[in-house]
Amino acid sequence: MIVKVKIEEQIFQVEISDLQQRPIIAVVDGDEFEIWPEGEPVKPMVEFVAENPIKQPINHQPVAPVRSTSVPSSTPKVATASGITPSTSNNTLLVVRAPIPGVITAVDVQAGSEVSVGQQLCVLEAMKMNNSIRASRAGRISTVHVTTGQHVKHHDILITYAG
Amino acid sequence: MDISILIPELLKGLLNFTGGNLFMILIGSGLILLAVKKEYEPVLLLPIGFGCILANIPLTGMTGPDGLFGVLYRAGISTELFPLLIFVGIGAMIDFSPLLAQPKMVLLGAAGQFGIFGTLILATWLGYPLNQAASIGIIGAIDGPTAIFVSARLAPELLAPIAVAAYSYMSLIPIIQPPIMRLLTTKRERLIRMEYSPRPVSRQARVAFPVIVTLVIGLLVPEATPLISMLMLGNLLRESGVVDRLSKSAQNEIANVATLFLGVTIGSTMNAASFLNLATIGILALGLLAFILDTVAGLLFGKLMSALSKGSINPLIGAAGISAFPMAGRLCAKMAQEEDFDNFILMHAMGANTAGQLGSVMAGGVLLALVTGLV
Repeated sequence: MIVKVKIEEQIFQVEISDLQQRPIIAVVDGDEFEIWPEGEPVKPMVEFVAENPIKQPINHQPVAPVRSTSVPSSTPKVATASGITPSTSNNTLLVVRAPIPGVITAVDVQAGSEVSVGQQLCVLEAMKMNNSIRASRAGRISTVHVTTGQHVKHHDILITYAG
Repeated sequence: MDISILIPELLKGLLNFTGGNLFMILIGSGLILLAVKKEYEPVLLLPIGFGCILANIPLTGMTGPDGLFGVLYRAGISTELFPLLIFVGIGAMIDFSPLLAQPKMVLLGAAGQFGIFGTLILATWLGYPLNQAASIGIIGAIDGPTAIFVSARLAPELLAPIAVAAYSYMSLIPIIQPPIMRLLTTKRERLIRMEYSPRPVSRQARVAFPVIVTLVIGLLVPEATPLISMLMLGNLLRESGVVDRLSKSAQNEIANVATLFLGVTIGSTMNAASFLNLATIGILALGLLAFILDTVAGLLFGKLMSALSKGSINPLIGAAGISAFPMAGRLCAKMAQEEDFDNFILMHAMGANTAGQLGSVMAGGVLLALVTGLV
């Protein structure tokens, strides 16, 4: 996989063969670097793969910023990364999507509501059955994208968290 | 005028009232109570319960050949008209797209019919003649109209207990199935998430489906054709998108009128003299067994599919393969959500459930073919 990393107006082509491998081997302009992401284990990322198998835009991949690019060398360098920051992987958890197609029959939260885990956010009727859509994380609701009576397709965004 | 002759005439209703009648009236009231208080299949249990009460008031003449129930029975039950009309309505209510999007669910719909044949074999061992054994086995489909259709043809003498068993077990699905589901699946299996990844089902496919199914099943199992064709007629009305009025009538007015008359007429066959005997208890027990065996077979097949798919299929959906549309499908979805509120397997369960509906109709047709061929 090739990732473009922009550092101070300069764009680097970073080639990474396997993100799961430790250290991550990144090739920048022909130079090989070993990268140990901080904040292991990398569980959040694995989780979001399970949450949401849709491919993320490539710039969302939690790639460690490479600091040692200014020191070209033929031997692998050890670069410390700032780790996988929660903000990148949490982007997928910030939205609540329709798990199945159906009709919204009730909306229990509004913009600004504080919700706790397991709290009902809205009700999605599918196949004549009311499905309770519950909060999988605590937080404040930023936007409610649906209204009662609205038809939603699979994977439509229902609710966005503030963060 | 001699008063002493008049008094028995005035009291003849009470004088003909038996303990059995009282017991059946209590049963009828119990059905009504279940319908009103617990909302267990009220659309069916309410008319059945009331019909049962009426049938046990002596000397009304309502169940006689010219009475209301006699007329309704000959018009709609022995001709099998009511179950067929209900099937038009059910067909118009069923959305087959979860099944069309996931055709492998057909296997679960087939596995869910094992109990029908298992119970048939058991009942013949127990000494029931083949026609009665087949009618008892079909209770396992937990599909009222199919059970009535088959038993009205094969063993009309057992129709009342079979219909009552099929409908009351349908209302007891949320009580009978969950313990079996918990027993046969591990928590880890129930937690399996199934991503809903529908393959798009085109309108052409949805319109062609009912026609093709009618032709294929009709040619393979001619005895199932009345049921499957009416089910598919209703579905064609729904999916064609051009006869919205007919589709709505089928779903509402036609299905409701037929259900009301079917329920009250079935209830009226529950009189003390014909219902209160050991055969009824045997039928209720064997029917329950058929239901449990169907659920077990569906779940075991679900586990097999789960293992073969390396754990990407939640075996709970196997329990929806029994028919009992749509209760069984909803129950599976609920069970999965009880373990993990973020797990939505409803569409998969409905795929298996609609497959089960088709499976039980085919099984009914196969039974009719086998038994009429053998007897």
